[in-house]
Amino acid sequence: MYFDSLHALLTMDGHGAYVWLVYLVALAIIALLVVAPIRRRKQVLQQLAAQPNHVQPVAVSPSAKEL
Amino acid sequence: MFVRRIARCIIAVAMWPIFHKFGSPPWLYAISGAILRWMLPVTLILLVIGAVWGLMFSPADFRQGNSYRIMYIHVPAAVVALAGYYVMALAGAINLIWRMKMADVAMKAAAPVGAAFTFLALFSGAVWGKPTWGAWWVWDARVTSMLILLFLYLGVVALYEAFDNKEAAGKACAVLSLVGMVNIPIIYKSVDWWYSLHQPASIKLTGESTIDPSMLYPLLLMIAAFYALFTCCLLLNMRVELLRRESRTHWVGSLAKRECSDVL
Amino acid sequence: MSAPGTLQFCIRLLRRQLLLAVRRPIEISNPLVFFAMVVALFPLGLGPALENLAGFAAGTLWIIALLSNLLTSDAVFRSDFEDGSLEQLLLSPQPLYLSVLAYIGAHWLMTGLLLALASPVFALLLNLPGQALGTLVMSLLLGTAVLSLLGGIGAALTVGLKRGGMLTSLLILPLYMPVLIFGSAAVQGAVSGIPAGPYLAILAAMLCLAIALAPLAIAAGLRISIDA
Repeated sequence: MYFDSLHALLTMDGHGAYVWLVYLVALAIIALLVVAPIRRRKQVLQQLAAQPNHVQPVAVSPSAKEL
Repeated sequence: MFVRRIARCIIAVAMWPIFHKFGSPPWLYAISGAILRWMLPVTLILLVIGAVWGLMFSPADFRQGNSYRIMYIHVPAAVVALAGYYVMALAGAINLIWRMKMADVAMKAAAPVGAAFTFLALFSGAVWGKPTWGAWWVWDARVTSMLILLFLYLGVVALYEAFDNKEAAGKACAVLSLVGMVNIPIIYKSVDWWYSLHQPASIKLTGESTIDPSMLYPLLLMIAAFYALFTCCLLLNMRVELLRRESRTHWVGSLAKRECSDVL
Repeated sequence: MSAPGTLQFCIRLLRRQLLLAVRRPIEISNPLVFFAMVVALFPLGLGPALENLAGFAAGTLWIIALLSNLLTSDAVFRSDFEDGSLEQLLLSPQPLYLSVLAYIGAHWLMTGLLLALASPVFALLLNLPGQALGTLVMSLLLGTAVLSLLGGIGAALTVGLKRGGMLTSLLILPLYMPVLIFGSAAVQGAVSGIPAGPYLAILAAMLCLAIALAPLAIAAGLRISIDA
């Protein structure tokens, strides 16, 4: 490891706040990018499963229950 | 017209099987699920390895000290943001020329992901600028170009949302992103030139220093990981969009019953 | 009446657009009045010191020209879209590329050309040095034509939308930026004694590229908007 101690890793000679801020924001954005579509997919599937007769011809299907 | 007809013929003869499959939502949904099942974990592991390597094991830059470690986020985000625009425009072109609905799905999925990467590149650049240049925002050529790229992405997202008819929205966004693609080199060149005209002498970042392998390898790893991440996010968003568009078909219906508990 | 030739058709289209505009002179003068008013904003905001104004004049004049072009470009196709004549145009056997060029040409004649011709007056209000006036007019003549073509893309894509105005600006402002860079650099160069020829040549090159490609995008945009 390049740094001598955990403290040195966190402070990085005064630049630690900037570096860690960027990595944390990157983590947040990546987490959002990955988790959001997974959750939305699940919501879509749950909504579809909740309405039992949605697999009908388009003309008959109730439009009020649409996504 | 004539060119389009010839192109269609070539596609019909040579690549029909592939295109036929890509045009099939259930197939695309299944194959993207199979890809994501291993690609997403691998991507996340690569990201962690790259970040740990860049943060803890690579040496400090002799001029910028430790603040250069932001590079491992900044450069990959910027590279992928630009590549993402081309992916989006290409998907739009395929949608316009061959009326491939899956290309439209891909384009719609790429826009917000690309915008997020562009934002990350801009944000990390701004934070990197504070210790290096002494200001949060410097009107540097690359910063300005990235800002314009973000505007281009936001324009596509805004245009898509403005249409009620989503098929028209896809085509309109395809035209817009193609116009943007033609303009990106012009914008980059002109901003580059504009900057060299106005450049204050004091904020030159680095000289023509070659990058040391101990810094290059984690950077390359992070770039690869970000490309993989972009692909994963693209596929994830495409799957949601596929389900939405095909929500009345039989395969989605049985899928909803069967694997409501599945994660990917 | 026999069907007109392509060129004749475009000239008729151009004349029709101009005639429509001339019948409502207020629409023609609006961009000029807008230009004058925004010019008046700058001394109010930046202070009336003449040397300050002269330093910013090249950039501000170009930005104002860009904004007035932006505000008018949203309406290029709107009235014809609403009364259905645009749909007729798309159904006609004439090449849409040239018809679109006629629309844009009319728009440029009514905004860009007039702005360029009137710009020396506004330049004097902002204390732009006299030797840059010729370059200002030339750069505006070339640059506003590019702006009109690019603005047409945004207008064509949003013409079918109820609230297009703000969106059009969002779509095309990023595309305007290279034109602004070289237009204001040409004027700034002329102020400081650098020959402006190369900048004007680049603007002319952008114009050539825009004439070649923008009508394609506009035509595609119009087809999409009509279909929607």
